[in-house]
Amino acid sequence: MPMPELVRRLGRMAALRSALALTAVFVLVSLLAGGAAAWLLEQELEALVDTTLTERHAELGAQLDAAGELERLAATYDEWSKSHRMELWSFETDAGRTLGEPTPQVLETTGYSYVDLEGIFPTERDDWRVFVAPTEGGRLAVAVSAENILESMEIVRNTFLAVGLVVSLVAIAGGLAVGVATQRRHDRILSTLQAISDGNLSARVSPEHDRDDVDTLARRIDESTARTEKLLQQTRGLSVNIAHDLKTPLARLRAQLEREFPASPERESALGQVDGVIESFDGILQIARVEAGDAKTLFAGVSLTDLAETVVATFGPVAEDSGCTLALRPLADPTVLGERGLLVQLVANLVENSLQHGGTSTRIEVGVTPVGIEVLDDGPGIPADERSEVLAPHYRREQSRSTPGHGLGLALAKAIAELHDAELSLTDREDGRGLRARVVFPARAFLTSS
Amino acid sequence: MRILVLEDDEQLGAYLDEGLSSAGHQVDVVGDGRHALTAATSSNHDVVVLDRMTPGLDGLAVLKAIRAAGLRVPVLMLTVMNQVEDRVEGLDAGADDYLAKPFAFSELLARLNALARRGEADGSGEPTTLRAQDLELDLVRRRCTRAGQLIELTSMEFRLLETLLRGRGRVQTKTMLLEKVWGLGFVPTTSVVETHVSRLRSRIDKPFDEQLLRTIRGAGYVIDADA
Repeated sequence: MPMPELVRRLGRMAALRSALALTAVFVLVSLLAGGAAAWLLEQELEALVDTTLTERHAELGAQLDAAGELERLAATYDEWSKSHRMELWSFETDAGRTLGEPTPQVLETTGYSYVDLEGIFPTERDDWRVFVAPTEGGRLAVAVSAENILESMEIVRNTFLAVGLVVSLVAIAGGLAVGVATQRRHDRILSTLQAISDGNLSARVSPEHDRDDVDTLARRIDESTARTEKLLQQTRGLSVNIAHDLKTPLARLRAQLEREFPASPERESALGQVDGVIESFDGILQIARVEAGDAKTLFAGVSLTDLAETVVATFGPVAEDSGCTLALRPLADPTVLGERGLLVQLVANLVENSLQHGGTSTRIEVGVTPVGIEVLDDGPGIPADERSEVLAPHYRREQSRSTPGHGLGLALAKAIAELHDAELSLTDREDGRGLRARVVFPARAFLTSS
Repeated sequence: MRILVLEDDEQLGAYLDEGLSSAGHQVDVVGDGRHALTAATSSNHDVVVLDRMTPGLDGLAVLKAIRAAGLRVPVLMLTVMNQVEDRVEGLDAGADDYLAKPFAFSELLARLNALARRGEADGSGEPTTLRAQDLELDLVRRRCTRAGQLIELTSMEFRLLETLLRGRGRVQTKTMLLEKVWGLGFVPTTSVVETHVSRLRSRIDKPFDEQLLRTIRGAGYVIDADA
């Protein structure tokens, strides 16, 4: 999987994303808090040492003030130095003489600082904390080996880094685990909902536990799907039962008419009426069945050009005989996923609608475009306010009450389009001359693009 | 021929019995699926008609049992639900044809005749030329001639003529033709079959003295077996 695609998909996983974001915030806050604590500790340590240095400076400064002490202090420096391990002092008189530790580089500094003094004591580190300030008769420097304080600081830093690393790793691992687990539960719900919306009403999330609101959500989805499935089964059972309970008597009636009455115009008329009832009945049942979506299990690749050719070859002569023309206009040859028989019926119904309402010498075109199929005519069209109504079952336009048909053709066309997730629309043609019935398939319905 | 009918509606069963008998067939009508299965497996029928919803065993279960027993007898399913998915289910289970209730009796008769003939025709090989008197349809070269004259046909007209010639002597109903020639599982509002038949007639019959393609009122079309 290419990186941007992976990032895009991760970005769409809400649970994983929020778990990772929370982990990142936690790690950042831990690192900042730890860092601040370490920094404060170091400041505290340094302040402690500096206080000692200031006191020592004041003490020595006071001794230097006393007359005659200068020479004595200088003479006893070695002794002092022995009793003050890891400490030293250096004094530069105004006259330029240096007493105490001969470390001129120390006296070049001012205030508190770290200075590297090599070989004064056999210590591991040569860093010294130094305080230099003028005092009576010259500049006095006091220093203490920084070995302890720097080592302490290092320990603080290392401890902080180690703890920070462990905490971050544990937090990231925990965050990932929680995120992936939650994401998996979300994905399970999502894939189940996808299956349900694809018509598989027996799909269930079936959560393994009942721990939290995600499980409750899953359970509620399962319950409502089960209810919907049951309702649909009842409805289907009902339509089958109605069909059975009404069609058997109709069959009996038809058979009785055929068998018990001699052939006559009256019998033919009665049979015609029975057949009309049956036809209407079949139409309603068919719309109900198409809407139930069972035919989705029969979906296969259908070439729209091939389908349009079939419809034109079938209805072309019918159009010609009523003074109209029916032509094919293939602008593309897409293959869509669908039920061929139903799609033929859809286009046939649109063509028959144009034949019935277009009037004589109507020119009808069946066009195949990259997005679907359309039927255009140059007839009177449908007034804008009637367009949504003509797609409802049993709607028949005022002018068409005299023409045959049970007003189900366009309603069935719409149901078939919806079964394929396609959109059926009736509009004026762009040039305003006639009707344009379009069936636009969703992008996912196409098996090949033209 | 001998026909087994499974129909649980007594009155309808009686009409079927009477109608098929008067058309010269020997008819056994049973009202229960289990009896139908016993009858189908124990005696020799030329064709079986099964209603889809019946007591005991339903028609689909009877059909599956018949096929599981290795019987190849042609089976026509009668159903109140005439939907593509029901049809596919029936055909998958081994049905040879499918007819929605209520039906015209002539439709049932025409379909049973076609089915019985299909059973007989097994193993006789595919003809490459179909004939009726001086009319010849060459299926390999896709050519039609009558009395030696070449006749131009559209592909739909060719298929229509081929279907009528293959079922010579047996009436082809409108819905049978819609299914076989145009592959349509529904009856269009406009007169598709009439229009195509009339065009075919104007090419193969009009210019000649004897008319081969006959209309049977209220039933369908036929090209006679030995016209």
